[in-house]
Amino acid sequence: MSVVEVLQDCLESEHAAVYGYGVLGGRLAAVAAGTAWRQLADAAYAEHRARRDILAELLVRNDAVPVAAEPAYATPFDITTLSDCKRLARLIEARCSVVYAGAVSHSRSELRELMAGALSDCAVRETCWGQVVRAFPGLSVR
Amino acid sequence: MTAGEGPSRRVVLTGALAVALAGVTGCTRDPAPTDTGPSADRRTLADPEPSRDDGDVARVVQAIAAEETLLRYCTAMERRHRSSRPVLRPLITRQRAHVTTLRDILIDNPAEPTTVTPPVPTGQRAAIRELEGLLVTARDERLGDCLAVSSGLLARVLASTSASHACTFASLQGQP
Repeated sequence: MSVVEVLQDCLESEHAAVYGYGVLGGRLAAVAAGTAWRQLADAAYAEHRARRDILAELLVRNDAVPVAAEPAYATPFDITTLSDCKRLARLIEARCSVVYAGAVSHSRSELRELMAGALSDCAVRETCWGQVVRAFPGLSVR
Repeated sequence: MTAGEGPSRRVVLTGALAVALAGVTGCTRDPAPTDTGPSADRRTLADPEPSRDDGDVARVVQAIAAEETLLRYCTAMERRHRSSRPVLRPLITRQRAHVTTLRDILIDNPAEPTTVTPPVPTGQRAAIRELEGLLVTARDERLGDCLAVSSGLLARVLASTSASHACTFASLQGQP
């Protein structure tokens, strides 16, 4: 897998995460306004946007055209309650963790450091959303 | 090389990493080849992208020792501070998984480590602070290992282990 392919995979994942947190933000404004959950979602949204922008910049530096975001992404279930929001956030972070864990194995030096850091950040956010700590985030489903 | 190994002993890391990863992910795959070609006086790793890098082997051996030290601290803390058991039980389970997975990566397991287990403070809060320090150290060391190894699959396991320690630290921060 080339560096560009690794970066594009991660960027696709971040596009979906940004979209997902956009959906979450709207729903949380209705069901959990002013709570720590809303703050957590806002922070996660900002962090995923920042990561997305870094990946896009790295792709440009590698003479590649960053993959564009889809106009919309399907959510795997209806997002109605706070519990739904937490579940979706955990799913977003778990999926990003898997992508970044894979990217670690296909990268070296600074890029590997970036991917490992992103894996850790996603796993910690997943924990903050209520996921029981996994022995191997990004690798295991338990 | 670690203490307790004869200078002529060889250890290999080659198909076992794939097996270890399959165990972690729940995937099944063909058994790893057992004939990894150890010929003279070192260890080897098992990996579908076979790594005979001595540096990788040394990193895994050090990581096993460090993860076992953390495991021993957790079990000692559980004995001393019974009320911390609900927090420590799942942590101990994860630590055992880390140790087992890393050990499975080596075809020829290293001798039991000779590292010293940090003493568990009498006070519960101090014991938790000590645990947090050990977790931060483990997180940073596994990340350093991840960046240093040549095998991509091994790097993935080490990065994930580091991330798990980061999550445990974060969850402890959320404890009352």
